Amino acid sequence: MVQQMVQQFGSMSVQNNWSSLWGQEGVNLLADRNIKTKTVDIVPGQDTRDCNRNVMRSTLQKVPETASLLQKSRLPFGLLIHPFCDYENIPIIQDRTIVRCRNCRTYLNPFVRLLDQRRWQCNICHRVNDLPDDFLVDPVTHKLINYPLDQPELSHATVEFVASVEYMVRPPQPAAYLFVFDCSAHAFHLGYLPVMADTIYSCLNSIPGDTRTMIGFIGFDSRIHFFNLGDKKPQHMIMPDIKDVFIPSPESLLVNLHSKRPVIEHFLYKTLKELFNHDGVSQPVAVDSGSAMGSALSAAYEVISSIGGRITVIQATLPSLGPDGSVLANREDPNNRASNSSNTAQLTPLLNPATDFYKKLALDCSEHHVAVDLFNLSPTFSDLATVGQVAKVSGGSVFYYGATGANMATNPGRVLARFSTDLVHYLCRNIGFEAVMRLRCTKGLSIHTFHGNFFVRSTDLISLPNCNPDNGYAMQISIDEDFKDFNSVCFQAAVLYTNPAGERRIRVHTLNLPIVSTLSDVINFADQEAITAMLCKMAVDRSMSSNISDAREAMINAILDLLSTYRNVAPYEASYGLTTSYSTRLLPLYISALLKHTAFRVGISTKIDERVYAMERLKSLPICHITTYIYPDLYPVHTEFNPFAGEYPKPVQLSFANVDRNGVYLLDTYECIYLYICKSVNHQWLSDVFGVTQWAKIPDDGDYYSDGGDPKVSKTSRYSTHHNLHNDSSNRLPATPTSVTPLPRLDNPTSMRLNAFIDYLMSSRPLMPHFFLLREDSRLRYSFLQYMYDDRSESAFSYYEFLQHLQSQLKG
Amino acid sequence: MGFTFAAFSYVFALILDAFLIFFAVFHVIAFDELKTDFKNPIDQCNTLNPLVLPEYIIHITFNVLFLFAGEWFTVLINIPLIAYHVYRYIHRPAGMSGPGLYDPTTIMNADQMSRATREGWFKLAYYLLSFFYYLYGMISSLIAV
Ligand SMILES: [Zn+2]
Repeated sequence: MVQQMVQQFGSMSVQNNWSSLWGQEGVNLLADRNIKTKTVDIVPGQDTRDCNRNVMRSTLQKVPETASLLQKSRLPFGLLIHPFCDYENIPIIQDRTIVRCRNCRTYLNPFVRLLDQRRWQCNICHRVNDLPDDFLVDPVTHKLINYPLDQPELSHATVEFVASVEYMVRPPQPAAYLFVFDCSAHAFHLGYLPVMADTIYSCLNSIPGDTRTMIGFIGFDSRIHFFNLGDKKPQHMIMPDIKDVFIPSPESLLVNLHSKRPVIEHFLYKTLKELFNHDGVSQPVAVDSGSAMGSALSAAYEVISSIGGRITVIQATLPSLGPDGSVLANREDPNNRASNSSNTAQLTPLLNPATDFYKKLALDCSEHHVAVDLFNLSPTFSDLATVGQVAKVSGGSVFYYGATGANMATNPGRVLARFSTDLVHYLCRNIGFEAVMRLRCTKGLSIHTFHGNFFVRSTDLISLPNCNPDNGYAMQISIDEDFKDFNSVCFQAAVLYTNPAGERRIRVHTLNLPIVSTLSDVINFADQEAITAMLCKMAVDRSMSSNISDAREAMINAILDLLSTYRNVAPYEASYGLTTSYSTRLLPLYISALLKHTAFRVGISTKIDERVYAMERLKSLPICHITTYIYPDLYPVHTEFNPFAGEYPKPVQLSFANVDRNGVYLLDTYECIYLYICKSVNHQWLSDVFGVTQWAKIPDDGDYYSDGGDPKVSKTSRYSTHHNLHNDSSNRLPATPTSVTPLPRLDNPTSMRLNAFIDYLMSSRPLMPHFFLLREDSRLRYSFLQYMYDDRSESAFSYYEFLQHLQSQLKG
Repeated sequence: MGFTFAAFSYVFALILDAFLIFFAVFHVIAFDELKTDFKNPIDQCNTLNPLVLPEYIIHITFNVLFLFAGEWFTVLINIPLIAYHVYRYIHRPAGMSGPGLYDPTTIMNADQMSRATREGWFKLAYYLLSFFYYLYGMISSLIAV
């Protein structure tokens, strides 16, 4: 009887009742495993006054009125911000006074109270301010505007101001780009230098900037290679003293892109490509496998610090020479990779930097408006935890190409193609220089912790030497005072930056959230994607300060807290099975996926750099991408769909039970795309997509892993060991790029449809995912199966077992 | 009446404790300045970090004197703080090249800030109370002989 009711209730709440009741109904989690695909998200409608959900989003769509209510809800409260997100239709305001509160400097926004035609009350500090005289004057026609609410500040949650001289500490800087690249024997074998040269060459016209744009190049192996671009021809200067680098003629190392264009082009298509030519043979000048990356970075900082701008560093191996602290040793013990839950404390030091050289350098850079972006191409241990600090603290980005199965040792051609495509995006993407971001929040709220790549300069100000459209940030918020007399709170993020054209701009985003007084309102309006994104950032911090087991436990406790709180809110509903509110129904699924995520998993061999990179991604991915990164999408692509009309396949949940024997599946993990082809797939489909008639003839990526029969393997796998570099290095040729996807483009509807869908997925993200083509019997089958997060694995619960575990914990 | 070694160690501790009180006051002010945005975290860490070890050393120095003077009870009430100092220094941020405890990249986190502020106030109270205790100790050891 009870059993029946539970089932009835479960299916009822999942399928029918949610829409009529606006998601206020509880959901029995045990009723349906496919909870993600069986339910629909309620996305609130948005107009221009509402902040774009991808730009600024709160974990709680309605804010509890007291700190104790927040405490009772046991949910994390914070904001996810993607302030420089590329989207169109941002109103730009210029030639008019920038209206700000005289007390707290808040910008005029749609949520202030207009007392009359001339006065407004600040919604951050509640001061009453005057509107300036020119506010109601149209800047073009010079006529009075009748209706002030039409002004963009009062009608749009996001506006951009063209700032006046008072917003400048110094004249706006020119766009300045300095490339610091590894040119050791490692770089030669990775073969990335010609690819980089070609890519930069092809992008010279589209690099953001104006007539003042500057560019420069510094190479490093065991010495520092400077390139004087000030003369008629590029001049190659080698500095052997790496402890105390002398910089020859700094002004001709970073030169104007337009006036020195011929020299720069000559450098890119000749000097750089012939760097390894020795007596007409392409090989390293000497077998120089050293890496003085630390010295090169210090030198780069010296060169660019007087201007500010961007340093792009390309790392091919672990830094082995240079000043104290910059030289790193291999700290990873491969036998410890598959740590079980009891010894994760051993991993904690590896997640933290070994030295503070790179962090200190980043702090210096940050102070001089320089950001460092790191491209890591090394297939072996390269201490991302230490070197990555240079990007994290200076507000840069980390690009890692060493993931298992997707690195330069296993598939150099495809990785180089990815690197090249990513580099195009990177070079051409929008950029802001000498930026700071301030987050103001209504009096009574304060910022508790910051997450992302930047340096926190004061309690509400972060310094971002560069801002780019790909980085996201998060702030945990604490409630210090009660909001009994208010009905909403406000957050305003303002980014002050210099655009590539040398114009000082302020981009202002304002988010207004209503205040509620009951626990059920707080929980029913929680945002599960945002909460997951916040929880995983907190878990990363926890892993670094304590250990991964603690972080895993904290995430499980967060779910247990949520479920037990819901029992108090809706005791009647919660008495059946395992119930949570509709708005948080996917949290257990996401957390169970996070426990198996590269960042937090235990019991599965995981390279430490890969783990560190996964943690970095969780910290800095914007909200629009992080959900796919946490819980990948699995699309059945053997079905009918029409991407040309915007109709894409519907993802299924990550369980092998959802994989048909005659199906083809595309798994999108954000970092990788897997095309998984089952054995009984339709023959017509095979010939349409691959032009082959036999399933076994599909070019599986796992075939590269065969036992040495394939010459490609014997050539490439040797790159993975350092020692071999000294032996017969001249015999091996560097890798050359192939293409990002191995899928042929054939002239039939099935192939075009699939390729269009893949193109759509790839274009929806800034960086190229690594493409894997796998047959059901592939040697790399496991790498696909590890993402079947809903299923049980050797070391972890299935989703359903996880739910049962939660239920037993709640009863106990 | 004579000037015993115990009396000497109390006099010495009194003077050094005055320095420690000064350190604690400075610490509290420094974190207050950070909270109210008066100072840049890099500068503040650069001023605070060199003071950490001297404070610990001063504290340990007069406790060594107490130990030699056989003032067991005084040593006993100071041991928890010494232990805390050792614990705190062992668990300082990873990879720091210079001496000290504070990392400008994490110092602005509310958890760290409130911990440091609480630590400052607690130490101030502790050093103040011990000041009066050492005063009492000095007088009683001077009178006792
Ligand atoms: Zn105000």
